Amino acid sequence: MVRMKGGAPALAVAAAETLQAPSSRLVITGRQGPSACGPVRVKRGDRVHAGQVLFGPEPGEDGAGLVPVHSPVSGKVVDVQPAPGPDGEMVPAVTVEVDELGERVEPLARPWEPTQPGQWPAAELRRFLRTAGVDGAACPGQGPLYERLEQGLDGGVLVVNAVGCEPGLPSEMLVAGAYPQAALLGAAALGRAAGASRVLVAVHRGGPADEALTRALAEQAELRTGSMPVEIVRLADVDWFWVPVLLAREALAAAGIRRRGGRSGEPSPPMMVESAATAVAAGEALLEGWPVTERLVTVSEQGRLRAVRVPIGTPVASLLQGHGEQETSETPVLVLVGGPLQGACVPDLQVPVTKSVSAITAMPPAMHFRPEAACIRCGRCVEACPVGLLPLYIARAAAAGQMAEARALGARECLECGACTVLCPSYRPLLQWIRLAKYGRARRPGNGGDL
Amino acid sequence: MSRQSVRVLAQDVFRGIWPENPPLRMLIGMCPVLAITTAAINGLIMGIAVTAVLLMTGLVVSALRRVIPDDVRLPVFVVVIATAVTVTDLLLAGLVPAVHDALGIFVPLIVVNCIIFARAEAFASKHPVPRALADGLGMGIGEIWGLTLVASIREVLGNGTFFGYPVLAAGLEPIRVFSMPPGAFITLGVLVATLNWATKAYREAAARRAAGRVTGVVASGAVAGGGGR
Amino acid sequence: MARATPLQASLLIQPAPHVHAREASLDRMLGMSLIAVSVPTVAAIVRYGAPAVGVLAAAIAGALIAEALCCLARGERLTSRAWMASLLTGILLGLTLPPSMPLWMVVVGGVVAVGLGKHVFGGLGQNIFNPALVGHVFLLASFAATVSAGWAGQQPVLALARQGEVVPDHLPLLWQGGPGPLGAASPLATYAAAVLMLGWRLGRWMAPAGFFVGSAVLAMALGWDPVFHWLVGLAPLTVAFFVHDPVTTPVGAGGQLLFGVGVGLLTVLLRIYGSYVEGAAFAVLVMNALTPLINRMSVAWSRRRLQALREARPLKVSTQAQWARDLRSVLVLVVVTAVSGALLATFYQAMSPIIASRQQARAIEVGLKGILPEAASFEQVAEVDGTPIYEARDATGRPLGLALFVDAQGYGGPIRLAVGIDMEAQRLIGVRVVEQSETPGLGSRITEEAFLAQFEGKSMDDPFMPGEDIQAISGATISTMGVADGVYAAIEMAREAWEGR
Repeated sequence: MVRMKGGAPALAVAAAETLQAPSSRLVITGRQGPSACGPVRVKRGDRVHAGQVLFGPEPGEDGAGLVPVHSPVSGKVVDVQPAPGPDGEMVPAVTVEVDELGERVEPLARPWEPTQPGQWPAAELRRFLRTAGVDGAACPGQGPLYERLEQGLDGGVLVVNAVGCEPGLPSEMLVAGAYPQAALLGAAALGRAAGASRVLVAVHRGGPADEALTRALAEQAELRTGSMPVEIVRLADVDWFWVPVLLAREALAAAGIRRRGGRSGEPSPPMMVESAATAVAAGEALLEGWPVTERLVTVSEQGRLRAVRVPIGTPVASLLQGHGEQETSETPVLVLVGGPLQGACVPDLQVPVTKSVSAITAMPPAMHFRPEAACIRCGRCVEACPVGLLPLYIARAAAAGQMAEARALGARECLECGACTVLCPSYRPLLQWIRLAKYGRARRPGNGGDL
Repeated sequence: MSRQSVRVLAQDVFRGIWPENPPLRMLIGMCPVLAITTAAINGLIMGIAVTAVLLMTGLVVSALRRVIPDDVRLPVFVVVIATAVTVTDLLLAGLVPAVHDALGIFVPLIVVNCIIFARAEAFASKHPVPRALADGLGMGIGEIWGLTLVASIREVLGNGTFFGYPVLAAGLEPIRVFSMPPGAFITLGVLVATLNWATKAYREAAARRAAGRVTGVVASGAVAGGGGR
Repeated sequence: MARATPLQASLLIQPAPHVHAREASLDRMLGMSLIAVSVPTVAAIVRYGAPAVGVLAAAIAGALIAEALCCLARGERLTSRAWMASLLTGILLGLTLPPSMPLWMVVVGGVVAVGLGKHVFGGLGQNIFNPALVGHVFLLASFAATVSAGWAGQQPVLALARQGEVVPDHLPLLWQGGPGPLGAASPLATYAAAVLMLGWRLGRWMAPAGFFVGSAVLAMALGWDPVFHWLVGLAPLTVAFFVHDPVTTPVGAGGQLLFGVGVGLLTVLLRIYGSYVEGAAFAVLVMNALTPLINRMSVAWSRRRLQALREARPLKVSTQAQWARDLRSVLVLVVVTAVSGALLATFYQAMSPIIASRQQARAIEVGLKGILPEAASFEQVAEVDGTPIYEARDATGRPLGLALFVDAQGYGGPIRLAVGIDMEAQRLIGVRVVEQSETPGLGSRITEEAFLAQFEGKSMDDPFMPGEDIQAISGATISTMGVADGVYAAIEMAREAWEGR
């Protein structure tokens, strides 16, 4: 397994920036995350206010299972045609032309004390968060957030991932460090909504999130000791890949919670992992009563990191600063939603940011790729796999067309982290074969859903 | 034993003697047929050895057929067959050493003879002991007469003797080729062709007779035999 | 709007992951392995000089020729991976051979190593057996004497040790190994290469660990010094290269440990009890054959773990039902085999006197008649220490001499001799070897006419000592001694029988 020893990477990132030159046209898609959003509620020519529902359930209906999408700005709807989402799939979309009027709708009703999520009934809290458009963000392979919250933890543990998903891409760390108060509050809220008994916020020891969150927690006693206690768990030696189960285990171990009962036969406590971005969204919704209309995106260009807060619907092009005159128009470049290991390529720079876009990476393609060779059974993929699968055998079965065998070997359990493919000396596209066995096609479906 | 089961057993025995005769109809176990049939006595003894192995193997495999798990049945068969063959080999070495030496390595090769394995897998492991024994006996008898026939032809033609006794008239030379490998192939080929032709002719005649009975004596002109039809 | 961005640049679409670890490259791995193998190569050249260069060059030549031909036959280009891998195979093959190998043999070995050891299985990454060792074993089987012999007539250290001769201390053995294969020229250099392989993450840690454990356990159990076994013969090369070959060794750490233990055990076992002097090559090849099975165990283990994960239950090693089924199969097989074995043993006991007497008659016919062709009959006239002494008579009944069978101790087992003695003339009529299991190509040459002819006509009073009145077969001292001792004992017994007459 690939681990990063020692502490967090040295990052010199201050507060989040806001966009220098915001776009005048926003494309808000009807698929913002794993959950369904509902039918479109506006039509061409309508004037919308900031915070108005663009996709959502019928007025008066509860719309269980639908997570509405709200307009980040006031403006005029110029188009309701489908548009490509961040991964290129055509999804329903509303294009809004921003105007200067800045009209806003009323804030959302918060019947209970927003800073005391423990006081809310769980069902009400879930309804509130859903109506505010809080969606599970940036977790490959996890189902819709509210399904998981409904299923509940029965007194188990919620782990909030403020560590990160990709090596060198500290998006979770940055969002938690930039909005520590919201992160903690949101963590408590999610815990309450899920029926957890404890919430652990996992951070990198000594990293920027660690400091900010520790200070924020010190100031908010009720979050430490209230009915929904939040703890910060500091991890020193962390697997960088997004591995929900493993991260949760490490966090539990660090918090001193017994994992498996082992010989005594106790089952391990149920656990759930959410990203810090979701927690921050939930926290901000509670604090301000304002639906989710913006998010912090970590932009990595040529190795330089920035954190930019943008309204959803901003085209990706606006986030990239470019390299000036050095780049010619013929230089191929990769623009990814996510990081270099798991990110999906953006087919066009005009695709919009959604609630689940946590990072944008612009990088030149790796030039040292060699042609594929035969598997030499070195076993590096086996060492690298965080789930403990045998990628060489799954890929071999998939390449031979034996999909049933490939699935029996664990193709469905694959987290698609890409570690095996990165480390294969024969440059074999292991992950593509595994995806073929998993989905029947070699492309991971976009943020809009899971097969 | 009921009439029915005696009939079944008889059929099991007969099957190996003619319709599924191993060397001459099914053409399996060719190794000994071609290699050792230079003298009639060799063929006879080899046939007896194969019969002994078939009986021993059939008995054990059939008796244990419910006990042997499916995933190890082939290794178990091999062990049983090898034991039976080794016992046979030792008996031959002690009782008829000259023939044993002539048969040489082909006695141990009975272990991999298709006949034994095929009957164990296809029949003995799926049927009760009496039937397995009957089948083994039938196949064995078929093997005996098949081998002895081939060997007799080759010995007479190629060596001028029959079971060691000279049979050629004085002045006639035996055709040495028949004692050599090419002669084995030629003998076998001609024999099998002849038997096939004979079988076919017999079947056609039987079919004609059956057809004749049904349609009456329309086609026949002069009717042989006495009055009536 | 934003400034000049990669907007105008062409966007690439490709599936994730978009990066690749630079150091995870087969070419790089091969290149670094070649650097590692250069250490023992240089040590071998320094120690043995020009002959070492010749052997290595010939092995490399053979390997590369075969690689080129096979790539041509396949219609593939000769990629850098292909020729680097074959270069490595060639060097390793060269290091397993003694410096005195004739070069044409080495070239053949190289061609066999790459052609038979690698390409018939499908090329790079598809072979089951280690190619260099395939070539080595091919040469060993074909030209046993030349490969087993040492340098300038000296026996390899391992052979000396097996014969019970005193072995030098370990420490000097470390940086200057005794006579033997090139790779043992300096075990220190070869182990340095092992350290490089492991340090550069080209090797598997578990496999050498397993080797040391396995070989030490068996060596100590049999009363040998394990460190000695780690320093001589092909052991350093095995630890440094052969157990690390990714293609022919298991993929998981547990499997690699098992592999190493197996190689260690078999190496020691074959070295002490096998008919070839060095067992390590065969040990590795046998474990290579078992590697697919070990890998299947890893797959089965992974599958069970996944099943447990899916059903969210704690993992047990195997469910009860599966254990019961497996156990039953094993038991049935064991019982059937044991019963068959017992049956056969009893039967054999019963039949063996009959068979033995028949064989005796035959042996007399063949063996003794070979020495005394004019004899028409052999009659047992005496028995000394359980050995029957026969008198040969011709057709007229005239006695021709005494004849008997005698057993002597050879290198690989007992040697059965037929000895004919003319007591009147006090001379040996002749000697024949009836049974032997000596090393093919070496000790087995005692059956040759040229060797046995020297016994004909010798006086009964001769000392029968190799080196004195008996010409020994070079490289087969013990076998010669066995025959001479046997003849001496036969004469003694005949004398006793004659006097007791």
